[in-house]
Amino acid sequence: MTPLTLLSFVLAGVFAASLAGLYLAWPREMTAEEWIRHRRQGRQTPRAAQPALAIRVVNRDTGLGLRLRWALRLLRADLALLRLRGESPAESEEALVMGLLRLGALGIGGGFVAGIALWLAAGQPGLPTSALLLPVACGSLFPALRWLRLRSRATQARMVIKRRLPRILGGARVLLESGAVTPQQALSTAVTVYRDSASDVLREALLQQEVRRVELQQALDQVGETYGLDELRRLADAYRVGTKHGTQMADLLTEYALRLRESEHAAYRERMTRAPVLMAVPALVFFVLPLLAVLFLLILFPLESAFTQL
Amino acid sequence: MVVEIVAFAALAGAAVCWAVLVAPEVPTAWRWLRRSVRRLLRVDQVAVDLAQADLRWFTPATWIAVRWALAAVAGLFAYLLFGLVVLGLVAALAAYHLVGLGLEALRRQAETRRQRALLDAMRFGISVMSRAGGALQMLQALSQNGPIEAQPIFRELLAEAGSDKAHLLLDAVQRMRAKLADPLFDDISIVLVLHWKQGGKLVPALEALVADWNETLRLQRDAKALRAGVEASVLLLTVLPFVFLLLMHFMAPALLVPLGRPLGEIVFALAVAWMVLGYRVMQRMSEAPREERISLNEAAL
Repeated sequence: MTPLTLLSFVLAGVFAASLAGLYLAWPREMTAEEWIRHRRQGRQTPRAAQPALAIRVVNRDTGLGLRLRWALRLLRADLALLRLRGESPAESEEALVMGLLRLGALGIGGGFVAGIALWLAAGQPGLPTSALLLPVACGSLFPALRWLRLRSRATQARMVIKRRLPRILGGARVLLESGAVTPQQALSTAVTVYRDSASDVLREALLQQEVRRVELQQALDQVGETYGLDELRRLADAYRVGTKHGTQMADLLTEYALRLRESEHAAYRERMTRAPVLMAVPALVFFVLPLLAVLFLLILFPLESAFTQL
Repeated sequence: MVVEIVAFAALAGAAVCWAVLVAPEVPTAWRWLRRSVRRLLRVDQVAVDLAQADLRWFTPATWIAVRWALAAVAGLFAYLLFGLVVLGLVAALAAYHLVGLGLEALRRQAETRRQRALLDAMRFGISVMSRAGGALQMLQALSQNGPIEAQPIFRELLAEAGSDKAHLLLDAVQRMRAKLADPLFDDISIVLVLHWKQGGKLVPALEALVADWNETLRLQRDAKALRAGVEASVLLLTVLPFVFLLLMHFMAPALLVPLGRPLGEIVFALAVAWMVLGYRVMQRMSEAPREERISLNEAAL
């Protein structure tokens, strides 16, 4: 059998598979039997699923359990926030935890294979250290990277909300001052006018207020807790204090927006004051080291050629 | 020969089958590709930046093409001059980045100028309205006697409306909002829409806006002063190694010969990539918060 005949058989196989795929994918009406089976599947109630092993471990009242519960709360808030922004990285926290564990297992497996390959390539006798170290490193690194990525995305989302919240509150104040809306309507109109993640969070609080029939400050507290947003909890506090002292809604919104802006600015000022000192480290790592490497290269190459000539 | 024909026929048949299979997905894939390219090239952001920098005669596509072309020319020039691929790439990257920095500097200048003028215009408008004037009188006064920088904006707005009818003025305001892409003008447009649609009071709303934006602009000015020194340090740190290498090239070119060898070029490329990473890290450290536009839903008013 020549290679060309073999190739023609392979191509014939590809053609047959493509044809079969086309036949199967071609849209057609469901048969009665298929329809009944489809309806039955739809009617079946899902079994009460047992919580995942990771969740069961977390729910125990041990030190590790408490620490894991704290991590899970962070995770839950991050996931909820990202889901609100339409950037859902996982269906639920259980799915994410299982995904992290799966990634860890994958890292261990991959690390083991890579370690063994390295050990074999090196051809050294004795204990395969790389085959032991690499699985541990990959098994912890892969889930850690995914966790960090999730955390950084959620932190970024929180920063955006923190930066834009004063604008929404300022808009609410403008609406209120124009006299076109009542104090109760000001916030709800503002969140409808501005299309942004900050207004999405406020809208969530207003919805909770209506659905659960609670005070706005309570709803803000709950939403702040759910999404891990301290600014909302502080806004709830401002409402609480304002209501107690009879502060006008417009003044309250202005003061809080101003306070948020000033706190952000103070953080920036602090960052900029520290910058000249902090930047010494990246300057050393990112600029001095590579420059030294290039200089060494420039010195070592002529030296090497000089020694070769000797 | 027969085998080739069979192979060709089989391949052609498979291609037809796959084409038929994927045909319904082509429009979706095309839409996805377009969306991805737009997101990758940040076309929407470029459009906003160009509008804010008063460079409306540049379409985003033209701007992106010019930027890439300039980077390619700079890269080619550096490669021809020094004969090093790495330096060509660095020059292309530097040119691309510098053009971006130029646009950002222009944008900031134009935005600061325009926002200061709009803030003054609002104060002027409040004083006109306080003397029992209407919204239209305020706009007319602003277009004729308002702050010099703001006059063209309001003159154009009135010319576009061409009438004193509220719905025409509203349309003109929306068009001007899209044209300026300025967050301050977005807020002014909310006040005007609220006034014409629901009869909202202009003076208190404008006063609230002035107080809010006055504080925002003050903090922005302060932030600008704070980051000036750090930005200069970052730029100097990035440029100095290349200035040093350039001086070496002109004073003692023989010293740089090892960089032309394959290993030298690899080490140099790695060093440059590391420096570029460092530049990005330090730039992120000194990045100032920017007052961005928030998309509005005017129908809700």
